[in-house]
Amino acid sequence: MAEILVDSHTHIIRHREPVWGWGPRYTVEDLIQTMDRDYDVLGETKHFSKAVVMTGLGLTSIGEYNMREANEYVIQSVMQHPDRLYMNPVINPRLWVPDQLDQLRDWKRDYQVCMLKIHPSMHNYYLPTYSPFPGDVSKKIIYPIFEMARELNTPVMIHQGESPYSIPALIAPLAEAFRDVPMIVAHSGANNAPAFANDAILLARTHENIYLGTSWVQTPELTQMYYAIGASRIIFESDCAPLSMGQQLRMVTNLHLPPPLGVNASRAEIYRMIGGNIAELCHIQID
Amino acid sequence: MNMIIDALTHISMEPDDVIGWGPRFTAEDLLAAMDAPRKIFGKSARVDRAVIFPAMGKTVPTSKLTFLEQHQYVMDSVDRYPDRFYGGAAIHARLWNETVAMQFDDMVRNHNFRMIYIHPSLHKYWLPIKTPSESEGSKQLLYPLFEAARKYKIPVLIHTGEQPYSLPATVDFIAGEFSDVNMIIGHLGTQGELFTMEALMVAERHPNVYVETSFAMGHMLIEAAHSIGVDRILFGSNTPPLEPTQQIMMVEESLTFAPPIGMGLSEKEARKVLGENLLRLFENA
Repeated sequence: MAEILVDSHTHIIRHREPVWGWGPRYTVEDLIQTMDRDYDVLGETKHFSKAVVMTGLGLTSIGEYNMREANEYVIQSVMQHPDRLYMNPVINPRLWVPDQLDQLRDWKRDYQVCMLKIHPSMHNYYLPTYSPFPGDVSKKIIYPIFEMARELNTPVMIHQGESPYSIPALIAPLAEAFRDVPMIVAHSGANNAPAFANDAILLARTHENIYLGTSWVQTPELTQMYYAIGASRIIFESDCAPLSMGQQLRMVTNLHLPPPLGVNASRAEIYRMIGGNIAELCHIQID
Repeated sequence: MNMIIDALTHISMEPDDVIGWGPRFTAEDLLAAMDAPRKIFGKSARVDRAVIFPAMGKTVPTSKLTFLEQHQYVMDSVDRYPDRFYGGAAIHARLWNETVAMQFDDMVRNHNFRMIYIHPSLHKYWLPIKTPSESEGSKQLLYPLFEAARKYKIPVLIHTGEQPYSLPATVDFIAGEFSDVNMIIGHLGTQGELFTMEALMVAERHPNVYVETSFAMGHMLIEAAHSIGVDRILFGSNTPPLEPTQQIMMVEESLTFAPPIGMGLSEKEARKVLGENLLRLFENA
């Protein structure tokens, strides 16, 4: 496997992010510049070859945009940098399912869509539950997204990290209903509360189609994750912007250190986590 | 000056089976981590000095070790590497008595101990609050430690980051009662993101309150700098289990990168956080 860096989780926007509030902007040029900085990986200077890009999430929640409009800047940016960027369209199921979902087939062909993203907290819904309420209503808007992911052969990234909609255990019914669809638990649930990562680890241990993202995670939980599910289902993500790519990367590459700072992860395992796994999962050509 | 000083590290010859790291992290392991190759502001840089505490697990109420035994390895290590280490006393308040007070006096006077660390979660107590019926026991337990800090003019680092004992808002009362004692809210009130705003509200109310950076998320460090200024923010790595380079990168990138990733401060300002502020605190001792 090629030893390259792929960031599975980035955001770009041409103006201030309208819900999270970060700004004044983070353009595709800013992102490329950040990817091209020098990063020390196992004592060698490396750069990010590729990144999976999302829109500023607030655009999918407020402003009454349609799906194309909310994701338009990412589409244009991927077309501008097809050798560096892949697209992860953010889907608001309350607004765009099922009417606007069909266009994802064209997007995959034309704009390097390699993943789909949903955000239960931003869009205010529970994931399908075992119980009929709120499960049945949720299934109507969420199942079509996972059926589309199955058809397009892409994973789905699910934002996780806060009550009440984004607690990792709530993914379990969905993971069981769509066992053939890989699901990436964004931030491993640690977006606001690091302890939720333990919840995500349990979910991953009990569901083989669950992968765990590393942004916002703290070292003790990342260490736990490595021992619980192994390097092959840990996915580096920076969540840049607003997080810093360098510091987030360093936490994962530190796993090569001996305990207690790391876990003695091998070079091959490190490169799996910081590029190989997501490239395989998203069919990103890296050789 | 450009020194990097780490306000919070631990060493132990054995695993910390309470916090949960191991198999050991010796003084030499820490020095190796401090001296590991890294670039800060584009230049090679080591961590010049660190405040070293014992493994916190040695200090919990179920520990059979005496206060002196808990700190012997730290004392020996400071004596062995006086140019690199300051001693830190992780004091389980329920152990405090005349003997411990004398031992601590010796640590400060003869072994370069410069900080007290209290950990309400591990040691099981509430910080004092206003309600007398709730607070009297806590005052009896903790005031002697703060009086010792006052006597030696050394700061008290207070672990924060989780319920129920370690919520940063509970630092507010004692910060007012001992307004001449410098206090450091550990982990920026958090071990992630929760509670950071609480920590900053306390720090904004009390000029004797500082915040320490380990476990903080970058955007919350930025909020800290906007709230209380960089002069009261202290770099700490909490090595182990965290690692110093990553924690330094968090400070450097958050403070000096352009928004939205950072806040565009100068290297000079960031260096206050990375060492100058703590050095100033120690010079007051």
